[in-house]
Amino acid sequence: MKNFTINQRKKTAHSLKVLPILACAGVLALTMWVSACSSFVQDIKPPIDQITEEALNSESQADFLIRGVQSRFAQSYADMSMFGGGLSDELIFDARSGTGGLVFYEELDRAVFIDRGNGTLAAIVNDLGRFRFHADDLVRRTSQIQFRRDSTRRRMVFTGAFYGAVARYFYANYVGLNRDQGGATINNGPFIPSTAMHDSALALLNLAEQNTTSPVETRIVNTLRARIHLIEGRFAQAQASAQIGLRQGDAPLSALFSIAAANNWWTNAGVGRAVYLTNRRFDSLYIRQDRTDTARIKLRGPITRQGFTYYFQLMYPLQDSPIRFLTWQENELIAAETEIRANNNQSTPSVLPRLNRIRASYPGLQAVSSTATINLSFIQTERDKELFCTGARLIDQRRFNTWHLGATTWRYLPITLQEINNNPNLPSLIRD
Amino acid sequence: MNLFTQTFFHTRRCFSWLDKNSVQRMVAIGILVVVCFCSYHAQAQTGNGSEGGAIVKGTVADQKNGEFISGIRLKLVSATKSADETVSESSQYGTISGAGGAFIFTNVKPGKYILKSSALAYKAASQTVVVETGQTLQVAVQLAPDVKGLEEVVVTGVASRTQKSIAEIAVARVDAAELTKNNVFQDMSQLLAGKVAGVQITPASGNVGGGIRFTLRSGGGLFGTGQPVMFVDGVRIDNSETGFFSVGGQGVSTLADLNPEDIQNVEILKGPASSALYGTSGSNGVVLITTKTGAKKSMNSLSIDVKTVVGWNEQSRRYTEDMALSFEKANNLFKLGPFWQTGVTLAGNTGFVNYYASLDRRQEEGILTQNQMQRTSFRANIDAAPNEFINLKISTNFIDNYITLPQNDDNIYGLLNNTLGFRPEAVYSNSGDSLGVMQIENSSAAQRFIGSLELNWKPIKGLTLRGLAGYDAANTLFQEISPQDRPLARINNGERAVANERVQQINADVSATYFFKPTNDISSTTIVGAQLFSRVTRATDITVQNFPTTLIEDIEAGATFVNSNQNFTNRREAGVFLQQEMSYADWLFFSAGIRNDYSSSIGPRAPSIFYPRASAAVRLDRLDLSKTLGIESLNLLKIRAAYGQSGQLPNSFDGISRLWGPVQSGYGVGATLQNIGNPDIQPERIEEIEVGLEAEFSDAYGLDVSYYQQFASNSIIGFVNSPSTGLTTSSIPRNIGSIRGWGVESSVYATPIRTKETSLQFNLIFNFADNIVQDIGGAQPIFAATSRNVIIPGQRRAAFFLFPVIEPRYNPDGTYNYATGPVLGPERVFAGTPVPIYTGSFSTTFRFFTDFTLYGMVEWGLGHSLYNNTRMLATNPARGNIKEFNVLATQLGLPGNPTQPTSIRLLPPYPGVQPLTPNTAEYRAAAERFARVDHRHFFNGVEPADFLRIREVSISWNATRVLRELFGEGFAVKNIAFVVSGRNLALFSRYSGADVEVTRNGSRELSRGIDNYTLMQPRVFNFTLNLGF
Repeated sequence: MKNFTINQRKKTAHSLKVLPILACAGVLALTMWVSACSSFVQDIKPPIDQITEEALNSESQADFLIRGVQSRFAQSYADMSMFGGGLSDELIFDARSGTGGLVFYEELDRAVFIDRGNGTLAAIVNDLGRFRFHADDLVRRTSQIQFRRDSTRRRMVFTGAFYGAVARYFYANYVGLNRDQGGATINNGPFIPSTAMHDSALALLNLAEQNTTSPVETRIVNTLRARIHLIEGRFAQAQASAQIGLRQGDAPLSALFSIAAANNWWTNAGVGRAVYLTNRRFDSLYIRQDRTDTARIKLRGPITRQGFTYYFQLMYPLQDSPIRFLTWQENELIAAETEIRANNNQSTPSVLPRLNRIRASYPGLQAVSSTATINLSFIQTERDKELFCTGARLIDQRRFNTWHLGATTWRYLPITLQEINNNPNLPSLIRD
Repeated sequence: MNLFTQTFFHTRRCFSWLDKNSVQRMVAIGILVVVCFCSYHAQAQTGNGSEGGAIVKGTVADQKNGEFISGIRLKLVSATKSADETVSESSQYGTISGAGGAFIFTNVKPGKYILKSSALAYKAASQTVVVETGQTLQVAVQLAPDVKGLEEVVVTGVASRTQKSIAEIAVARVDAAELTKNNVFQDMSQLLAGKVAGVQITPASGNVGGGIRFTLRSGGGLFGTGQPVMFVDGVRIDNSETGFFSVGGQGVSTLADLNPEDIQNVEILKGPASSALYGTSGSNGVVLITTKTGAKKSMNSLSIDVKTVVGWNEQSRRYTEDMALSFEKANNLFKLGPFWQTGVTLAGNTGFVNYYASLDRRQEEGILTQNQMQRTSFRANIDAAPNEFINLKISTNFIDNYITLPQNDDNIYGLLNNTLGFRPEAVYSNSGDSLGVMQIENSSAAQRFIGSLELNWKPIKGLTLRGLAGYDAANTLFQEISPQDRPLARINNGERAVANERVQQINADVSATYFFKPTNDISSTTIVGAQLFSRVTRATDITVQNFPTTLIEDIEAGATFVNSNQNFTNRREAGVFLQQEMSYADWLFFSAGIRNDYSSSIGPRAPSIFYPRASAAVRLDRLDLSKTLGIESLNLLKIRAAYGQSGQLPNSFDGISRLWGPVQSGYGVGATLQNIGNPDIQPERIEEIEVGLEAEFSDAYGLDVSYYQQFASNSIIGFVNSPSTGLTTSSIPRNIGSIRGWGVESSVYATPIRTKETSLQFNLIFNFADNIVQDIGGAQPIFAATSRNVIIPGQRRAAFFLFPVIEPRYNPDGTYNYATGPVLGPERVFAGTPVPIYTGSFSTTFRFFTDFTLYGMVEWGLGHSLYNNTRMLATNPARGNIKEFNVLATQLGLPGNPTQPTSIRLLPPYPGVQPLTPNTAEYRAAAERFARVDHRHFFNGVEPADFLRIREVSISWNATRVLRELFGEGFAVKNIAFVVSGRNLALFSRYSGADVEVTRNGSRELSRGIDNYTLMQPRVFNFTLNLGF
């Protein structure tokens, strides 16, 4: 016992000698490690495929930013025009074509019930929101940059303001809170009905007009202005804007695509995959009446599969086929319509030449007979053909009150569940 | 020139070529130091033993059944110590018992010794022996069984290890080596499922090589994937689900690369109470995998084992007419998926080096045509301990794994989508072509190296220095090839998408542990250490279409470029920790520690984060309580409590407010917003407190129960913006949430029979785990992409939270109003939980006739729901593929009715069913039911999915004894065993789909418990032959 106690004391004494040394070494090591850890985690390589927002606040990045807005426009326009076509009587869904099963496409075509939580719907409405954001951000960013050349600033403001107006035009005409109540929200704000949304678009068009860099840009602004006034029923203002809008010979303003960023009409309503088919009336009502109309109504079909006959559009035969957004032909149609409306649904001397100038722009297409009865119905038909696969049909069906489905069906793409869930200014909707 | 100097110069010559760069120089110096140490200490050890000594020999036997035991480590330690309490090298002897439990020590110096014995599954024992000159001493050693490994040394923290019987935390340890003796596992998920209390491991689908999800306890915090951090022999490995071209949401599990046959054991730290000192990212627990070292079988031995497995996967549940009218088309897709696996392992000991090497090849086909895995794994481990002061471990693993996945889930090319989703005459309507779909090849070919180098050095008494470097590098080639000669939607003349991803993870751990006893009763252990971790990913991909021929399919033969991408990420973490452990009189144990963490992904305004922990345990059985209570057979009675904090890191770029990147378009390359972050972001902080009780009686019956509470604050919520903001390119991370979780986990075990010929063991695991979201900072509810799962205060995480269907809606004339649909409740309500609340397993092992072992395990989950989107989509009248819906619709007179909407009007009336008369009781009953199968309302898709599954059954015959009796002791084969086993043999559930253990979107998304044409788990049969030489 005595020996044990002595040994124990020796051991404790040994430990007590060692302890301070070890404690000092431990503290030193900890201090070094703390310092090393902090610098170790900061010493990382940045990502190679992304940059901070501030790095783009430079005049040299103007084109890079402008192309970003344009790419968002192309994406949204393809979505709005194609799905708008699905909601209207332009496109149809039928599983017998062999591409059935995409629920949203079918729901949209039937327009009875549209799932606000559907992933495809969320994607296209999210894309529209991003388009609007990028356009507005481009205008905002001009105040953060010191420009050496004013033309660069003007190009940025014009692009941002013009496409900001286009985004609001899309909201006003393709998105709705309820089945027949067009409009949307911006930046988590309260619901903005279509008319107010159009007013907001017109304000931005004014800003765009103040920053144009060429006369054709001014005419583009006016054609869009004319279209908006036409939809709002302000026909005199539409007529006035159309008069200074795009003119014969002006190149159309189109949405451009590439293989990497394919035209959605090709992807889902055409050669790539014909989920949406073209309503057979384009063949039976138009082409069979006038074969030369194939110059502007390009279809593949009739195709027969297991006893079912169908068509799909060939307006966009390739992934990178552009979609016309504003053309001088449409400007002529707006002018013609406003003239007819101003003349109590009767033609005027200038209407026929306008229509024939349009037809003459298609090789081989017959001119309108001088004896034809040209009224609003004729104009609607002419618009149906001329603006085939550009998203105009949905708006025209509402405008001309020629809706093809029941009274309780959807005439807009619904505001999505994601908006309802996250925007405190929207009332909770009961239906999911 | 002495050995040290010779070694130094020789090694320097050997590595002179390495003077190319600093890294190589560091490696060379490291190797040099290691070699010098080993050489020095090896030399110091020479001279052990002496001429003309005594012999000590005997046998080791099981105290309970008298069976002789081989592989027991025996140590003969001199009982006479020097004045400084140390034992001289020349008075220690070691050996390992061989066949028949025999052992022998030769050349033993005369004196008094303590004979110490230890082995897995047995309690350590010691006895005093006195050896006289020239004597041959016979000793019989008897060991008491340690049925639950109470005396095994287990990991209890980042650098702390202790016996399970005195651990202050709930220890979960799976003896993988034992399990793989009598069964075969494809991957980690199969190995661990049902084996650990408080841990659920669920594959996302039945795909061979598919994703795996761990759910530890109540799930930790709100943020992140909820997955634990994993280490293999100290290497922090990549355990993500990967896949550039994921098929309908399902990806490939990187854990499928690990060969379960190489694993010795798996230890799981289940929450911050135990994993706090692992720091940030340890909040979801830590899984520590230790591979085999081949150690300690016997001295200077070599054993070669060959394991061959053949078997097949098969469809575990056939689709029926009630599941889909096109059920036969779907059933016809399935096939037997044969597999074989052969592994050769070489393990042994030479001097102070234990080594283990294995070469294993597994080739397996799934139950659908395009699903297969071809895995080749080579492992070489070395564990060198030249003396008590140095221990060097080298672990290396090279894996080549080729996995192909079938098209399924949310995918227009999905095989199950195209068959179950459409009426028999319209199958493959989604994709355009059945043969084309079957020919799409989605593959990942991974080459991966996992390696670690660990050095433990005891420079002075009580002090251990540990250094470890780990490296996990994978190079994976992903490909998706669509055939050139089949018409597939959106694909022009074939498509080839190729991606190359390189993931590199490096970790380094250093620690110093100092142990001393200030008094006889008090022990003190102090640990300081640091950890570094770096992850780098590099990826490039390219997609082309339009191949002119089927003969050439490389990238350059694709005429149309579709897109390409490149990305690079780098993330680093670091932490320092300090822990103090104390014990008093071997019955009271206490420890406390702190850790400070740093990470490149923490926001710039929160450069580091601090975590504390503390725990204590009391061995009541060592306080003579058993005598007081009159329970003489009490082996263990321990209570314990632990508290710890940990966290979840934000994502790599969450601390940067906005990141822009390039987008290709028809206008050229433009800039778009691609990531939205939050500079104020901090890690989510998760606290856990656990208390537990462990008891064992008669070395045969035991109980281990723990109660825990987890509370996560500052949770990172991925705030989803409304589309109108335009800021939807990513969710925005915010520290605004909190969630509370709690639960009980328990295991009860019993070995009522243990004789030489027969033994019977039972093991019951029961878990209860629940959670409730407490706060999301006033944010709108967070819905998963499918809008079914939600994070909202007052509900469980990822609960189904939907508008209820109340009753059918009728027109004024009493007919069913399909156009408007049923009456819905005004508020969303809880509809189910996608994770079982009560889980458990029951397993039994019955050994009979000495050499036969029957093993079985059932697993269950209660309080579980699934969203059956497979059924919901097929119910859509445009698809019209659900019999019940069609029958009810026909009874309600909806098909062919011109007053009805087009979709239901075009539905063909169900043959033989007549419309009922409106306003009758039968009509209203049909309407009631019809309202609840209407596909337009998510509420109708949630189904109870409680289940009980016969998970594993095996019978094995160890024929060694019989053959040895037949052929004599000269029989060359040391071990021969045959095993027949099955997996997922039966499923009992009210769920109407094929399987309850499936989820769309793989294993990482918030979206959980959604069956969306997801492939069922297969039934598996294995036939195994084990040969040991």
